Amino acid sequence: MSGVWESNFSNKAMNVRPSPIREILSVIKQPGMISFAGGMPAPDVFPVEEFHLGAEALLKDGKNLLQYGTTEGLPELKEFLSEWTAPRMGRKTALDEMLLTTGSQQVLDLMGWAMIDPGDYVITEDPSYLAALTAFHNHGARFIGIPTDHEGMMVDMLPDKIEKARREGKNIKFIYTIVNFHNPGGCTMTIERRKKLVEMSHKYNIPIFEDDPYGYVRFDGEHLPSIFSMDPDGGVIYAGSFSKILAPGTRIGWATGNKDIIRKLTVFKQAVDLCSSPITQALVYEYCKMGYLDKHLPKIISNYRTKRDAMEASFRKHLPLEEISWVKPEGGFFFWLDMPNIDAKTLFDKAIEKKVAFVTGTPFFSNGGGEHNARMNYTFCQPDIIDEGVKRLGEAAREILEG
Amino acid sequence: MSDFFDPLFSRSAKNIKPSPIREILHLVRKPGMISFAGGMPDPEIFPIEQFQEAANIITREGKDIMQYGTTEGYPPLKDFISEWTAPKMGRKLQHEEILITAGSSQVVDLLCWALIDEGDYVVCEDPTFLGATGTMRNHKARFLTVPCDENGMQVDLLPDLIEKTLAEGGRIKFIYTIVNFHNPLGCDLSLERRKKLLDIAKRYGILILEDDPYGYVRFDGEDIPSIFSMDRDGIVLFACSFSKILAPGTRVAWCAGDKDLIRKMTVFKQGTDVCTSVVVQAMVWEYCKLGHLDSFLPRIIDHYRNKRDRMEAAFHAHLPLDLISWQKPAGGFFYWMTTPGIRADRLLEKAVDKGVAFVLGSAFYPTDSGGDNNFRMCFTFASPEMTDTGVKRLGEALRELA
Repeated sequence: MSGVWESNFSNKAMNVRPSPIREILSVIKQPGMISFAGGMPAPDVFPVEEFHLGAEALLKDGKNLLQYGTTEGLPELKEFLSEWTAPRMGRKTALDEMLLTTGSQQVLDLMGWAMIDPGDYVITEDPSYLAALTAFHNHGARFIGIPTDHEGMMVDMLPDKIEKARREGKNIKFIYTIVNFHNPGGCTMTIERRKKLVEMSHKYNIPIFEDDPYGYVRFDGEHLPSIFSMDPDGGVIYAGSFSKILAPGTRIGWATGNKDIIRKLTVFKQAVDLCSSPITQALVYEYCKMGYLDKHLPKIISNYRTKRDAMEASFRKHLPLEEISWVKPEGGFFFWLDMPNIDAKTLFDKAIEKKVAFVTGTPFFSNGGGEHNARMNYTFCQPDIIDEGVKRLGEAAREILEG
Repeated sequence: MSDFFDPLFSRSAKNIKPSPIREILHLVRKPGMISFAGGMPDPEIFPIEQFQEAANIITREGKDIMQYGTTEGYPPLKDFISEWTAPKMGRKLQHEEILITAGSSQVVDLLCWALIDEGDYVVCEDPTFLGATGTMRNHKARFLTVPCDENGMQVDLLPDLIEKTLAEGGRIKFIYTIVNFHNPLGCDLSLERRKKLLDIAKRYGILILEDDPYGYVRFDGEDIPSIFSMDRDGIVLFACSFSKILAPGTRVAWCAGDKDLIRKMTVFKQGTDVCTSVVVQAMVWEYCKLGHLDSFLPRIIDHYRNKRDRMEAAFHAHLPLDLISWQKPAGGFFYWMTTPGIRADRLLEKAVDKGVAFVLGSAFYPTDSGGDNNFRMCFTFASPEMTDTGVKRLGEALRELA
């Protein structure tokens, strides 16, 4: 212990909160615990051999790849992404409209740097992605939360909220939305709402930050056009990632947007980590170029679809259905449980006794809420474990309801 | 056009400037240009085959290393660092005292997150590494600068400077020092000054960031003990990197310090990038474990010693010694040149005309004053022939301005 550090910590450091998932890590690690708390991919879908083949590139191009890279990112990988994402983005984006990042988490931090002065406001969904709230909070942001339903952000509420905030002199910097298979909500924003959101963005001159880490992991139905593709005016910044479609250990994500904002993000990236490792960028590129991204992705999707279905079947089998409801996610990683008569914290404590873990709803809300919600991840555990875990959860819920 | 974003940019975004080195890179791309501007390692001495061999760990450990890692870093790599750095650190570090980062620039960013509120002061050498001060500036730090001589920061000037600032109500958070083979100066902070610096920091309750990216690349003389190793109070954060001892493309670095501070920085790292790529951390670890770090590092050192000697010889052969002076660095990447009668910006113009580039000294002064008669020359990147030709051109440029 050294008091000297404490007396020197910044205000941000005094207020920073570690992720709630980390906080329950010691609980999750208890022997026999079944955890639906994290948001991790299943290691059995990692294309280990195929990914390793890319390491040949180190021999061919080592002098280049072991050197400092450009902050903007490996051009070959950007070209690949420009092609590969074109259907979703509505066109092939130019190289200067894209920045490769150290995971899509870095896009959140860079957007904080570029946009947020302490006290500025960000509009988010209620609930929203925890680590986004944390990243923006670290930059001094405050939040205006918009409720969600099974069709995503309830965008009709935006005008009132925005106008009220502006009357109060609040400075709104951007609207943050997780469009597909929301974390934690599981919902997907409908086309109609996407269109409306773009209209409001134009009307109020507020840019949109479209975060889409799960979009390519769709189990059912058709892919929806991105908000980026609906906006000809450059007011949308889109973030994607290889974490869910290849593996998170690569730490490669990307941001696509108007070249001026991309340039700003790039200059901040110079300061925060100079460039993402050209080595991992090259491994990712080789993997993609050899065709494995397209070949392997259906396997990942099918693995997670099976697990989602297993979890839903277990819900129906084991949960008190009159008390707990959910929206079936069409992709992604999470179920979001609604339990109007159950306090999530009480359920959590009881569930831990029975050796099953989840994340309570409250940390996903920027200004309170979520006391009766639980986030359940289905990608990480095997179906038989899922069933056992849900069974334990059902017992815990019943014991609470029976008081 | 981003009508959307422009009016909404943060103050930092409105004020941020791209690095002057980056700007000069445009000049350097001109055909025939010989550049001593960047601070890049020589790709000729990258251990490509050895590192590629280390990639086999992907097959062996893929299920583990392709997953999200802990924010703190890949435990086997931390074990290795703890053992390997023990002589420099004075003891074996505990895991909780180490954080693995995305290059050592991230160390500065995370430390600023943990310590800097708007307007807080950082004490730094004048001149100093501009990447670090750029990051501090983004965090809205202000600077107290201390001149340097051939023994590094003139620490005797510190007490007055600190007391004056404290008397004016300023908050001083940390002292940033590059202890070995300073960038851009090339000098070492002497042992005596390290001790004094630590005493002063302790007396005033100010922390020290001991940045040491070049320390393991020593050509001559004995290693000087780290400030970290002299500190019993946990007030030193030590930063080092694999960029110069393996390759910068790994983007793997680390810092070591008091575990409360490391913990705070770790929580901020959760928000900035979750964790450093486990794939590349594991490759670095495998490379080290196979013994390549220890067997290859002497080759890197030899290679750069030869290059420094080549540049020194070229200086003696081609430069007008009455117009320019320098101090021979005992390690690292840089020469710092002084031209008392000639402005460095005029020299750069002339030099670029002749096909040779360097970085102006003024770029390294955080308060934007100083270095008008200085420039930095990197000796590690250019080939021996290019070094010779480039220095010859530089000599011509100097003579024409004299």
